[in-house]
Amino acid sequence: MKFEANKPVFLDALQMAGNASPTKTTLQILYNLLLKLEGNTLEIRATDLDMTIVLRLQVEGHEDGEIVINSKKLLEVVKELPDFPVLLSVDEYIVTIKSESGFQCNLTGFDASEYPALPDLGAAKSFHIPLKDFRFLSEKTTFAVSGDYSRMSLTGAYCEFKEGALQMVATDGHRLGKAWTAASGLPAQPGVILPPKALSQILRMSEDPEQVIQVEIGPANARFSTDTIVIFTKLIEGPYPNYENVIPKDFSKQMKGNREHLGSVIRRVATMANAKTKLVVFGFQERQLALSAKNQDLGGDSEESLPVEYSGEPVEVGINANYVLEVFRLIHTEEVQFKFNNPLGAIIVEPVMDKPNYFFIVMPLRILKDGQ
Amino acid sequence: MIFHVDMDAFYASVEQLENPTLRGKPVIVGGVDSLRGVVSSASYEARVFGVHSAMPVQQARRRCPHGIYVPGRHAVYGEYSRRLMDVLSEFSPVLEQVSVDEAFLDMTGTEGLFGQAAESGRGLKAAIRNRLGLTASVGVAKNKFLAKLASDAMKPDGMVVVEPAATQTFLDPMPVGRLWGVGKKTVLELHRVGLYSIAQLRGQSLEILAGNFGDNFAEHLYALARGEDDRDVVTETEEKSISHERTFETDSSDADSLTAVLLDLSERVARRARKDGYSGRTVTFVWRNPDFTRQSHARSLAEPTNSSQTIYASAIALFREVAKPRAGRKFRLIGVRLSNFSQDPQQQSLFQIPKSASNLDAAMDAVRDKFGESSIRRARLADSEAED
Repeated sequence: MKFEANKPVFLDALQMAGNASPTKTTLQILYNLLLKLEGNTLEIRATDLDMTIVLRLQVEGHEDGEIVINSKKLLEVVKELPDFPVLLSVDEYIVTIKSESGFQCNLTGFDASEYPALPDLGAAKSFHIPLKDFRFLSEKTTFAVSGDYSRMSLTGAYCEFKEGALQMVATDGHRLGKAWTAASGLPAQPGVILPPKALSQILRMSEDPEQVIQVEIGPANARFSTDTIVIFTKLIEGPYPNYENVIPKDFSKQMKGNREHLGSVIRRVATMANAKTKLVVFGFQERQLALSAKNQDLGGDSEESLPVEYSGEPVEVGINANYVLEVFRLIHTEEVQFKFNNPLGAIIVEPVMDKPNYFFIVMPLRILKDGQ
Repeated sequence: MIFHVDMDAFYASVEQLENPTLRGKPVIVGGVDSLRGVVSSASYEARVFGVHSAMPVQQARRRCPHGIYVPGRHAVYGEYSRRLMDVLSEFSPVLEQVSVDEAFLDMTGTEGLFGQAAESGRGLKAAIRNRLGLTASVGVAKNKFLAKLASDAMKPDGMVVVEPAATQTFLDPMPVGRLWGVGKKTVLELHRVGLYSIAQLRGQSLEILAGNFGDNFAEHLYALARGEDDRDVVTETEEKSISHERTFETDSSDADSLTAVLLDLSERVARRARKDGYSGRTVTFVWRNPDFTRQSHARSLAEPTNSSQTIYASAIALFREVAKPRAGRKFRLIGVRLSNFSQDPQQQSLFQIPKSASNLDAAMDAVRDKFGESSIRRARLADSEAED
């Protein structure tokens, strides 16, 4: 194998591939990349067995071939090269990298047959989606993905076609994010659970927001592809909990307020909240919201009220301030709305807009007697 | 008789003992290097200037500018504390360590060994002085509440014995704030209704107190004002857990009956937890093998619980993990323990235990509250004998 590559293009591809390489594994081969040259197309493949990234880039090919090479070392070398073409050649497992600067290094590679094969998709269904829509769905949900591996199904984002839309939802039981985007003409499909690691790589597939990606869903794996990048990911085994059943449909209490103002008051009051629970008491009252916090460890407390539109009985609800601030960052409307029924039940937090296409849920904290 | 032993200005005294140049001087131990530090101990020479523990160091420096301020060396105090407990444990095995420098001893039945109360108190003080080089104050009385007041009555290096007959004379003149469990807030409430001394409090009927402070707290005040306190000296700090166990007449390997027992035990544990207002994060399956060895297998849940169903589900999973690898494994005793109780405000979850299950718990609790523990049982347990 022998080729000449444009250094910045080669480096970009190696960096992207590096994202699929595991940081720690007992399977040594996974610390490597598979390079494969056919004509002027160089394919770079990396995998941690859960996710596989395949990149294709144009190079000046001299001699077809393939080799397995240490991912970190190759990246480290190419990063340090000047912006001249990079010449890579393989002779009997010895990979030689040369630059016009006069630099030259040799590194021993392995036989390509030792590298794990590509996952088998099986019978897959396929559809297309603009990357920007996928980004929207992913951004509104992945923050809520659970890190608790005793409930595997919650460690990914649930994706399904329903009511003429592609929906994505994620929850750790304490927060939930849900978003959907119109996707007409799509066949109804059973939902799949996508791992967050794959989601974040899919978002990096292109910088062009109009880029359309092809999605193929198989029984155990999914494939996301453009002309130059293919990402395979294992699906997380379900079933995903029936989250729709636990979301109330009717609400006896509703509050509307200015997002920025509300956010700044919550941040101020939360400075005196318990460092671990971040408990802020939301006192919903007619025309105003009274926020307060206490910190027994410091012997501190804080409070501030602000005008809001509220309909319902006056009630006090304990909420982790960080949960609210986190979803405020994902809302882009001037006004936000809270909808709930009782101090221990789900609180819907959503943008105030025509036909909203996303919402969040924050679960409250039970307030102990002394307000802590 | 109950003894309360309280070291005099413990940290400061240790510093004076270890560094002779500090003796006879005002020594203040605490967060002396930080702006917000507080005094954790002040020698009696420093207390003359109005310095006391829990006071901000800044304030102490104003009151006693020539004092010697030293940062705390907790590893050293811990070592002295351990030696103190060693000495105390030679006097009675029923020893409850309250803090690093404070302990209760139940000396009942030791008269033959150490003599009457005053005599054994003097022996105890002498032993601490000889073995540690430090002084302690000792209070002797019929219960913990009085013993603690007594040790405080003649500090430092004091000893007060409150004979049962002298209880009221000892208590009556004290302000209500000295009562165990009465803090600043309650003191103000007591003052508001004109009660300043324990004698005045003792003059109130239980009904009147209940009207002001609620049944439970009124009973507490009523008893303390009469010098009554039935708390035991607890040798080990109570492990914060709730557990139920069952020993079999003959070792059992029958999965059906074992799981039925687990269900019953889980329910009892859950019921106690709900009654006492606890939620635990860890469920443990405990067992005794035919050779009497005791073992346990535990798992922590994502969220604290007191639901019968959740505790049972965890217990059964743990049981299967233990029993499965060895078919026919016999158990002499099995038990279920709930621990790791949550004190935090409880984070609510979208996926709480199904409503029907928690409603069932509530309904069964209500029936049991009214008609007794064996008044209602799960059908699965209908044949098993009630053991209440």
